[in-house]
Formats: sequence, structure tokens, C-alpha cells
Amino acid sequence: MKRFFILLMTIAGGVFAGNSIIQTMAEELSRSYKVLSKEKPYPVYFMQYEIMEEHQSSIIASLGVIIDEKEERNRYLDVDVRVGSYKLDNYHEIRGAEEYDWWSSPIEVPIDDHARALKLILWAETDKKFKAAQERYIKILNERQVKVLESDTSPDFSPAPKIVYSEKIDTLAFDRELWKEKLRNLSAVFKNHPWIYGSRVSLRATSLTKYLVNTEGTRLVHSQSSYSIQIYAETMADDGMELYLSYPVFARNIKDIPDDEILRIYIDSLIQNLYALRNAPMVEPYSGPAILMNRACGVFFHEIFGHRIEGHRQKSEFEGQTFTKKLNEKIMPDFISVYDDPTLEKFNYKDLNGHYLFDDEGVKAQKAVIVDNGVLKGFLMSRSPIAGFPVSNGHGRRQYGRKVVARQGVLYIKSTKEVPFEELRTNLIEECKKQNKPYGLIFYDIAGGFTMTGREGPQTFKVIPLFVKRIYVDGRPDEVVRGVDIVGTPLLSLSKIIMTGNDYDIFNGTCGAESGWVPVSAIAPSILVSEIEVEKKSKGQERPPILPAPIAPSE
Amino acid sequence: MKIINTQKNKYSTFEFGPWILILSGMLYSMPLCSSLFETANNNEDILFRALQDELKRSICELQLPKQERPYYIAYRVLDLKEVEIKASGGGLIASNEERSRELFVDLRVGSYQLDNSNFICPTFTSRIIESDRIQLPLEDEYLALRRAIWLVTDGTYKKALEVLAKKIAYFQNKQVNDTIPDFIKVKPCSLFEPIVHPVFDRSDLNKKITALSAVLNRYREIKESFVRFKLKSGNQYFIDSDGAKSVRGELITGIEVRAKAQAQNGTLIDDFIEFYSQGIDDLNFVKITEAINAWAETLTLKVNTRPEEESYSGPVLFLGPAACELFFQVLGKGVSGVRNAVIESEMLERSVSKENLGLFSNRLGRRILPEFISVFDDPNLKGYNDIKTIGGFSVDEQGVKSEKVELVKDGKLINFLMCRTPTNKIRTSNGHARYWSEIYVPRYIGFVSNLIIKSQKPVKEEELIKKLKEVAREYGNEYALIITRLQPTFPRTEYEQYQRFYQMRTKSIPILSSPVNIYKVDVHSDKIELIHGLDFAQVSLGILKDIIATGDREYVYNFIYRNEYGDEFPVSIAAPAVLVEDIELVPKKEKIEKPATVPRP
Repeated sequence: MKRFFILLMTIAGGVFAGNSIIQTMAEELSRSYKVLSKEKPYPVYFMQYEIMEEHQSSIIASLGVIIDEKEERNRYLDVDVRVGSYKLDNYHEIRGAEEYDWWSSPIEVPIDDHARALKLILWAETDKKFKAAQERYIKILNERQVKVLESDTSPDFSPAPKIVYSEKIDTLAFDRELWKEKLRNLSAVFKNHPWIYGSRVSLRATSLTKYLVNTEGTRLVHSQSSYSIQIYAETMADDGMELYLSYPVFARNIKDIPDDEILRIYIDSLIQNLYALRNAPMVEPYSGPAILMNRACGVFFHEIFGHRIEGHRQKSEFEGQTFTKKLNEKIMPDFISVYDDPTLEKFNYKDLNGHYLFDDEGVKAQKAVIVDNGVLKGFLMSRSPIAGFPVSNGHGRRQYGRKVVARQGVLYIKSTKEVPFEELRTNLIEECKKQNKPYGLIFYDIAGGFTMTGREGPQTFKVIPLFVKRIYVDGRPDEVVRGVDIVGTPLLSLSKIIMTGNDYDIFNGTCGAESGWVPVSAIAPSILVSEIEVEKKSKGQERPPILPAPIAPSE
Repeated sequence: MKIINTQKNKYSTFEFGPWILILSGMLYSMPLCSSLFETANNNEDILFRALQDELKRSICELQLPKQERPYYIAYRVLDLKEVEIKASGGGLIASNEERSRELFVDLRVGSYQLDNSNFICPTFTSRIIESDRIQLPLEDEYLALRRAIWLVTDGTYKKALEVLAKKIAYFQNKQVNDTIPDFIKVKPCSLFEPIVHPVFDRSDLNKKITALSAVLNRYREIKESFVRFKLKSGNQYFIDSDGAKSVRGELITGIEVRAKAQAQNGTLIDDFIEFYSQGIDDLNFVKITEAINAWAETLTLKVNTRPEEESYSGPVLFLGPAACELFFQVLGKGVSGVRNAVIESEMLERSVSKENLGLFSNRLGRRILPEFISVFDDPNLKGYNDIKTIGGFSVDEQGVKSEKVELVKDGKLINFLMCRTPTNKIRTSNGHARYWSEIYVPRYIGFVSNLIIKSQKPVKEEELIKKLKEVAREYGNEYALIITRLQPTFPRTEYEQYQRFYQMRTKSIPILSSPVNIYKVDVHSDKIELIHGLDFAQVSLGILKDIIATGDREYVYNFIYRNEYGDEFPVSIAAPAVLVEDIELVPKKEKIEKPATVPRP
């Protein structure tokens, strides 16, 4: 992919002469801004249009046939209008009960570059946003007279340098019929396992192109595509517990998806693991030493740590603010450093889903140092400043139709106390002996989890492991177990890390929060913790199917 | 519209309908587990074979220890292809095509007298073993289909047992008893329509729809607008344990236009217009363009008039689509055969949808309309007065052969639209079943298909207007009202559906929706003027008895009814203009917003 990068140099017309969308957006932006920036009593001081074009194509196969197929191309518009000033504007948090509308219906715009049609929509949406901005701003001015001052009095918005950049649009390129046949064949493997109640092998291809213009002169066109294969199977244990495993494969180019033989190996091992899980004993609540395998560790950090260092949470009066006042304090062992670097495209030759060039506020992606040798150094910043952090570090992200907040991109957990995995395992057993525990746990895979960051709830997290083994101190073979969730509180959990492996790996996923779904990655080594707490997972009460699975007719 | 007849496996170019119906001998009262399931042989029948084999196995063997086997199982597969093209201001917003194949399971335990239906209670089912409905593979492969059918049958059976146990417990505790049977026997219907496969050029359609959307650009008052084309072609495959087996094809296309207009004084009006028919060729784009222009001109005119500030009481003439809506909303919904389900707890009561269905249920044999009006519903109609209708079907969603039903004879209510769920008064189905995704437990209701209103005293429309003025003068009014369009009573967008689902369930819906287009007619001259800002005060079912005259022209109105769960039922209504003697309308609050600050581009 050819890219050219121009900073603070050209006027929009020159670079984007061929790009009619960005031109239409820029024209309409400046036409509106000319009027609205002079509107009394509360003029507009900043405006931004962002259009996201999403082209999605998916194929799902199960038991040798296609069960679902979709192809969709849409363009969505987000209009941001700010009235007031950088210091105080209509995006300021309202501390009274603000009604949250769960329904977000994104604004669709033409996919065929029709300038007039696009202009009409830009105009109508700007008008709506401008009116809403005025109304909210008046409310905010009012509130400031009746309520106490917030603890963080940072401005509501920070200026950002003008950027002009355009790259070739990355379109989807794959042979649909060929892939349908591949998926049919791969998914047919599950036919021989009637104890698996649901299974699928799917391909999801997405290309996302973003067009952004703002009144600071920034003009951006950037584009990315991705291909992901998902292998999924589910079953039910005899006691009614629902069990599932999935295996994702991610690549920016379809050519980098592994061959069928390798995918077959993934499928076979997934079937094997699910079978072991189905027959595995239930684990009782336990607290003791454990290893979180690399990918599982990435998810663990994303959930318990990553979400708490998002900038806006340090300012909001509704948030728990676990780390806000801990700047320059030691929050985890000194052999660990954490940063979020969306500029990373690959790690160990593998593509990163969380990579991007610019965020959704027109700011260039940057590496953000969060923890340096155990000491908290910074936060993930959007253009909403917080005390001590006046500018963005390019982490303002959103899904179309949502309001931007600071989000993770590529979270990187780096250790200086690395040992080979085998040694980590030996240390786990040693630690168990020290604590007089008969066994420790290894968490191989984690489905995801959730974390409560709000001030009114407890500051806890829950992480859902998919595949866990018990490691016995007395030399008995490792044993697959099921039915546990990891629970805990972030500050305590982070201080329990003893050492790490040298086996860094990637977790590629999609993260959902208040600004919608965004692609993310986490890079982490396996970690040994002196204490982790697991509790019983809630379990279904259904029986497995009454009649045996139908088999193919003998003819 | 070209249709591929896959049963013959070649292209044939006959028009959609009339159907070639193959009505085989009807079987009644079948012994279970005998060889009633004939084996299918050609490719198309892999689906039927998988359904039949699993049905047979389940009815004979599906049983939990100490529990009963199902006494009835029906499988209905809806193989649906939907095309949606959306455009705005001359630009193409989206053009998508989607296929789905959903299986609906109706599984009953207990007996015809008392089974797991007609009772609403919370149930907790597994995510892995689903119940009631699932998506089947899109491709015909026996084993993949069987596995899917097997699991959903298992889940539905367990849920049925749970519901029946709760129902019996509830009856015992509350000392109540529902003496009406839960389900009735019908003659199994065997009917095979050709499968529908619409063939069309999507890029050509994209152009046509974007061109239509550009029509609205010249109306400066129109602030936002879009045009949406919809094609829905569905093939229904039905089989049940009573021996019914049928295939039905259905094709509906339509164009929907929505716009928001704003006047200089800030008045905002949201409006819509729709065109529905059977095939794409039935949509005449020249005529539709003309109609959109006429509609946009009316909208422009309307938004620029001052909202009415005075109440009105007196005669109202319902003309065109307004007359059809009036009959659909009051009569059509009112004669729906709906069994009031027993609801386990008061908390749940609020979650059950309220759509004003079956309000006439206790008026059988009584006069509900003037003596000169009769009404029937005929699902077998493909058209009426040379206009194609969309409400019809040959076999309903419970696999019952659809029948013409005389509903009102000389003003008296004589029947209801029925499914296999009997009500207090009617214990037979007339093939009008529609699947209704109720909370926790889906159910079937009898619903309107093609509703035809016939008058024995047609009056020329000019005469009708004269009569309107006359009555108004008698009332001492200076003017009378003509209403040409009403709002629909159902959610039209996903957002409205969401609102209805989460916020408006507790509220009841008015019997008659707000008027969209109202004209003020001077009683002393020919002066006629478009107004807005009035709504009906309170309308009761008695409104139909207040009809004093009807017009001579019969209007046909096609639309798709949608409930808050997203179930869609095509409906056609044919009705003459009607003059209602006395209705009260009151001013309603209109939306007023500051006009746009930046001039229109």
C-alpha cells in the first residue's frame, strides 16, 4: 500500500482534487462554519465531519453447507459541532441525570459520491447538531451556577495540528466462490462429531475507509481492510453446562490466512479441547497461584487495566478513577511496562487488528506510555484534556453514530523478567508448594470479560476463561477443568504478578464500550501470579438433547 | 416479472399468479406413526425429506421419562429473499440483497382441549438448544438440515413441557378453568404452488430508485427525505403431524417515500407515501413519479398553512386511503380472531402487546355497520377491480387452506377471521392464521388478508360531498371536513418499532390514528382548503354505525402491517368513500423548530 504523508503544508484542493467526497465535505463544512461561527449568542468554534465507509462481506458454513451469506456496503456520517470555547463547550459532562438513549441510528449517506445528495444530508445533520449543541450548552452554563466545581477543571477540548493525508482506498479482494467451497469443506469436519450441537467456520471480510474534515483544516482519507476466519463449536455437558470454544485467525490480506491444512489442524485441536472440556470435572471456587497464557493475559490486561486508563474516565465525576491520582506511583511490579501503540502494524510478522493511522478526531496515532517499569506515567488521551495531560495522543475513537472517547488500540505489555514457559511452569509448582496448595491453574484461553469502572458499583472485574487446566504439585498429569470465572479487583491483581514468560503473542479482537465497537489488539507474554481468585460460573439447567443426533441416510 | 419454476427446473415466463393449484385428496384423522409420510424424491424435496423424517421420529419417540410425547408437531419453513434499495436526494444510500431460511416449530403437548398454548409465562431456554424458531442452512443438504431441525424440536419440546406444567399449576391455584379447547382439528391441506424466484436487474433498479429520490430535490421545504424499494419473495414449506403438506409462493414489491418538510415559520411535518404491489412490473414508475410529485406539492402546501386552532364537531368524509384505513383499523383489527391468552403474572400483563385486535369479539350477531354495508375477507383474491392486491395467500401460516369469509352481512357481524386457536364463539379455522412473535411464547392469530367493503347504496362522490355540506349546515357548521389519508397504526421504521417495543407497550393505541391530510370545505361555496393540526378527540367502535352514506368508487389500498416484534403481514383493503355523521376533532400540538440557520445548499 502506497502512502504519502503531508503535514501542515498544502491546501485541501490540491491534494484531494480527485476525491470528490472529501471535497464535498470540505465545501459544505466551510459554508456552514462561515455562518455558524458568527451565530449569537453562542457561536460555533469547531466543526468536524467524518464519514466511515464500511464494506462487509461474510460467509458462514456449518456441517458442509453455507448457512448464511451477507454483503453490505454503507457509508455513515458523524457531525461534531462545538459551541462555546475550548475551555468550556457543549460536550462538557452534565452531572445531573442525563438521559442516555440506547438507540443509536447512524446517519446514512450515499455510497455513489453523489455530491448534491451528500450536501443535503450534511446540511440537515449540521442544523440538527447545531441546535442540540446550543441547547446543551445553555444547560451546562446553568448547571455551573447551581453545582459545586468539578475536581478536574481541565478544558473540554484541545487544539490539534492540521493534517492533510490521503491514501489509496483499500478494497476487498477475495474469490468468493473459492472461499465458499473452502468453508464448506472445513466445516464438514464437524459432521463426524454428533456431540457438538453447533459449529461453524466463517469468513468475515471488512474494509473500512474513513473520510474526515474539520475546521482546523485537517483533511484525511485512510483505509484498511481485514479478513478473519472464525472457527466455533458449542456443546453441552451432561449437567447442562453450555460449553464453547472458538479460534480466530486474522489477517490484513487474504493471502496471509493460513492454508486449509493448517486450518484443519486448528479445527481438530478445537474439537479435541471441546471434547476434553465436556468430560472435565467442575472446579470449586479457588484462590491460589496461576499462569495466564499470553493471549489470555492480553485480554486480562485489556479488561482489568486498559479500560481504567482511558483518559475521559479520569475526569468524569461518575467514574471510579482507580488510577487517576496514582500518577508517578508504582502500580505494578517494576519489571513490567505497558504502552498502547496503534502505529504498530505487525508483531512477530502477524497483523494487528488494533492498528490505525489516525483517530476519529483527526489526530495522528501515537505511542502512549502508560506504565514505565511499574510506575504509572500516562493515560490514553482523546482531545478531551485532563489535569496534567493537555493534548491528545491519538486515542479518540468511535464506531459511527457514537461520541468519541479515549480507547485502546494496540496494548503492549512488556516485561524485563522473562523466562521460558517451561521455567514459568516450574515456578508455578514451586509457588503452589510455598502456599501449600495441591494444584495451580493455567488459563489457556479467555473469551473476554467485563469490568465495572463506575463509581457507584464495586471496582471489580470478571474474566471468562474458555480453557483451563489444573497443574498438580505431586506430578499427576495436567487435568482439563471447567466452570470457573476469574474475579478480582484491579489494584490487588496487578501487584500479584511474580514473573513472565518470553512467549509474547497477540490477541486480536473487537472491544465494545460507550463509543461503540472498535478493533483492538493486545500483545502480552504469559504471566505467573501468586494469587488469582476463581468463582463458579452460572450454569444452564437444560438437559442435553433427548434423541440421538440424526445421522446421514445409509443410501 | 419473470419467474423461474424450479419444480420443472426451467425458466417459464408466466405472470405471478393465478396459481396452478394441485389439490389432492384431503386426509382426515390420521393415525400417528403410520407411513403417512411419503418419501420425496427430487432435489427440491431434500428439505421436505429432512422435515418429514425428523417429524416422524419426534412424534413417535421424543419423550422425557414420565412425560408425554408431543400430540402435534408442525414445521413451517419460510425461505425468504429480500431486496432493499434506499436512495436520497438522487444518491444511492444502500442496495442490499439477503436470503434467509427460517424454521418455525409449532409443537404441542397435552391435548386439543388443554395444551401448552394460550398461556404466557416466562421460560428459560438454552442458548445452544434453541426453541420455536431457528435459521436453517441456506443450502439443501440432508444431514445439516436434520441436525438443525432435531435440536430446535428438542428445545421446543422441553419448553412446551415447562409451559404446560406451569399452566396446569396456575389453573389449579387460581381455581380458574378455560373451557374453550386450545387447538382444533382441521382437514389436512395438501397444496403445491410454484416456487417464486424473481429475476431482475438490480443495477437498473438502483438507477430507477435514485432517480425517484431526486424528484424531491426541487421542493425547498423538504429538509430530509428518502425513497426505499423493497422486494420480498417468500416460499413457505409446511408439514405437520396431521398429514398436511403444502408449498406456497408469495411475492411483494413496494416503494416507500418519507420526507420531513419545514416551513419558514418553523412548522415541521413528517410525511410518507407508499406504493405496494405484487411483482416489480406492477410498479409503474411514471405514475409513481407523478404521485410523488403530487404528494410533495401537497406536503409543501400543508406545511405552509397555519395549524388549525379550532375544534371541529360534525360530519367527516373519509375518502380514498383514509376510508380503507378506517375500515382496517376499526373493523379489520376488530374482527381478528384472537384468543385472550392467560397470563401467569400481573407483571407480564404489561408486556403483552396491545394492538386493538378482536375488539368486536362480543358483538357476534349484532349490528356494527349500517344495513347497507357488507364485508368479506378473501385471501384467494389476487386483484380487485383490475388492481392487484397483496393481502392474499392460498394456505395460511398453520398450513390451513384459506377461505373467503363473510364477516358482516347487512350491517350485522356474522363471523371472525380465524386460525386453529378457537375462541368462545367460533370453533373452526377459516385459514387466516398469522404467526405473532409474542413475548416468551409465540402464538397464532386470525388476521385480515384482502378485506372488501361492499355498499348497497353507492352514491356519486359529488353527491356525497353535497350531502356532507348539507349535514354540516344542519349541525350549524360553516365548514365540513374531508380526510384523505390517515397515519398507519403500526411502527414504520426500526426506531418506531424499538419505541413501541420498549416504551409504548403500557400505553394503549387509539382506535383510530391521526389524520394526515384534512380538507376544509366551505358549506356555502365550492371553496376547499388544505389544513393541518387536527386530531380525533375520542373514537369508539360505534364510529362504523355512524356511517350515513358511501361513495360509488371503490379504492384499493395495499400496505404491509408490521407489529412491534417485526412480524410483517401484507394487507389489502378495498372500500368506498364513507360519510360519518358526527366526529369530533381537536387541535393537536404540532412540532415547531427554528428554521435552519445555514441556507439550504
